[in-house]
Amino acid sequence: MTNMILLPFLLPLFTGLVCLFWRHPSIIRRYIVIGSVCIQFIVGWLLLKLTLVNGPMSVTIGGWQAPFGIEVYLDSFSAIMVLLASIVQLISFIYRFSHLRLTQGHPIRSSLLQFMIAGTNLAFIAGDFFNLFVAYEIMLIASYAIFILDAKEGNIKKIFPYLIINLIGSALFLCAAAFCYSIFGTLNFTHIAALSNTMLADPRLWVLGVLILCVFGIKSGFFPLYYWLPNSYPILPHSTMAIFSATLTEVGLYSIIRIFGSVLPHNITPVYFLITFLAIPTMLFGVISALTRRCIIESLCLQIVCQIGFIMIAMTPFTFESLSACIFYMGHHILVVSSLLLLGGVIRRLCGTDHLDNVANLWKHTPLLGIMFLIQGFSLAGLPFFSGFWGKLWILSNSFQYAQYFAVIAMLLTSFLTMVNVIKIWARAFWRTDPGVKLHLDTSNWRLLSLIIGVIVIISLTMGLYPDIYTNISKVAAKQIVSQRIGLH
Amino acid sequence: MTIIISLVVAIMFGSAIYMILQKSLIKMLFGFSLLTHAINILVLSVAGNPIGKKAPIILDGAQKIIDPLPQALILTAIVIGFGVTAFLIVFLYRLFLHSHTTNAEVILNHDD
Repeated sequence: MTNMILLPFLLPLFTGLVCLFWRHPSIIRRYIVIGSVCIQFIVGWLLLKLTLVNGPMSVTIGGWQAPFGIEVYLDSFSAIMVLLASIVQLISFIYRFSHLRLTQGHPIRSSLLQFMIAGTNLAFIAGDFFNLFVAYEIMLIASYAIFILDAKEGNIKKIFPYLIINLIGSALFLCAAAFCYSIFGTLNFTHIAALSNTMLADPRLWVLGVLILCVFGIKSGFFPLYYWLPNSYPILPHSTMAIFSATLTEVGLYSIIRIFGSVLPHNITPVYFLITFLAIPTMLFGVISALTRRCIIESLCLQIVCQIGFIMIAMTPFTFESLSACIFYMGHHILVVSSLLLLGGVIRRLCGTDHLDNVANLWKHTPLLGIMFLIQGFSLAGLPFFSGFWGKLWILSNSFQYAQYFAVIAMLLTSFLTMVNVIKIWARAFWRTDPGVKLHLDTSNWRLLSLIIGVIVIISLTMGLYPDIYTNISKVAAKQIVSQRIGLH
Repeated sequence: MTIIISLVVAIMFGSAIYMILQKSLIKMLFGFSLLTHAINILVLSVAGNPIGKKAPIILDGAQKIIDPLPQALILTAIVIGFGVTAFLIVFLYRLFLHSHTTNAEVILNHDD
């Protein structure tokens, strides 16, 4: 039964391999992908239920015990991430298949996306440092290929910064693994957690902490290192972009929480201070650049950067309270941002462009789309009774408790500016009437696409209206993370 | 021994980063392969001083052996580095085909 925790990695891997057997466009490949993603969703659901009741599960591959064998470790936090990734995947694949004809789209894109998901899911269940590195490499190599697959010749240079910064990130990751091995003599997370409790005052841990922060900061887009994100994401087709926002940026944040929350000792306060310190410019720069952009998708991509700042503030100082708020907020973030990106995609299909000067008249013809965009936009800004409100309230009360007053001011300012940005997009795209703008109402099948996205909007609404269920789940997950550090499991 | 290896790693890192920061794509490519090698040596040095130790083949009783784990890590790292370098070469070649220059500054500032 515990072997089931390998399924989130094995299922997408085999799906990707099986899909490669059809060279030509085929309906069978689509059924296989959708079927596999459905099974991934069910597996994620079962794993979450199991870990919530029974606590974390772990498997050592081939029965070799931990210093020699590879351990795979899954707790509620990993299960939550696997489940959310599969929900976003399911919606994005259905969205993609419902508007692209069989002959459209590159035939190996589905396979590559499955390989990338295999990498991210392996990162979610990795139980040692080197396995985490391998997971990141699987994910990154697949993502490089996805970026280049359908890119126009002129767009390839926009991928260049992404490629270069991630190559440097991978190099530093390997350095961090080497340092970790030289300090602890093991790479297994459970062993490191047990050992690091005995070496609380070792200054080498600070160096390791900063190096790890640098590595995962590159992957998730922290303040000085976020340049690649808003430039490379808009190249992708929007269904792929939603999957990227739900997995690729989150996996960096997940690993930071995993490493600092449950592996390294809890007293590396200079690194925690650095995270909070970097979070404030991440939020402010993200939201101010989002305000200046005139394209909907680019503006939303910068909103992702700004939200990453919130998650960074939420996670410090890695106590039970801060981590439970952080997990709740990450769940909200994944659902809201991916649905907003998909909605931006529908707008792009309707108007042929997503530049705000050439988008108008949407409210008259597509009120459903307008309502959904407004709900998710308000949730992003944190208006009451949407999921973002509870998450932000929780983070704010934690920050008051830890006396991070600058962070509080920055968060309130950022939320206000996010609100302005959402209103800006909504007023230009939906409210404005411009007889010069023609909508492709017949060819874009926007009704079907909006209904598909409606599923995510409804899940996100339940998070806002019945937050109790979700806060309880995130509290259990946070408790498991903290207890792995103390070695209780 | 440790001092020498750390000096070698430092010099390799320094020259790799210098080359990555150059404008020419070819130098950047060589910088990355140098960086991969520098990190492999760094991982190897984690095993400690090899003098007086034997290869990890235990025939009779306890002997002083070299830690085999860093070598296993390097093996994986070399394969991954090889794959990524191959990808990088093709990527840079496509950049070159598009703009007919290997100067990164010209490529990135060139408007279509």
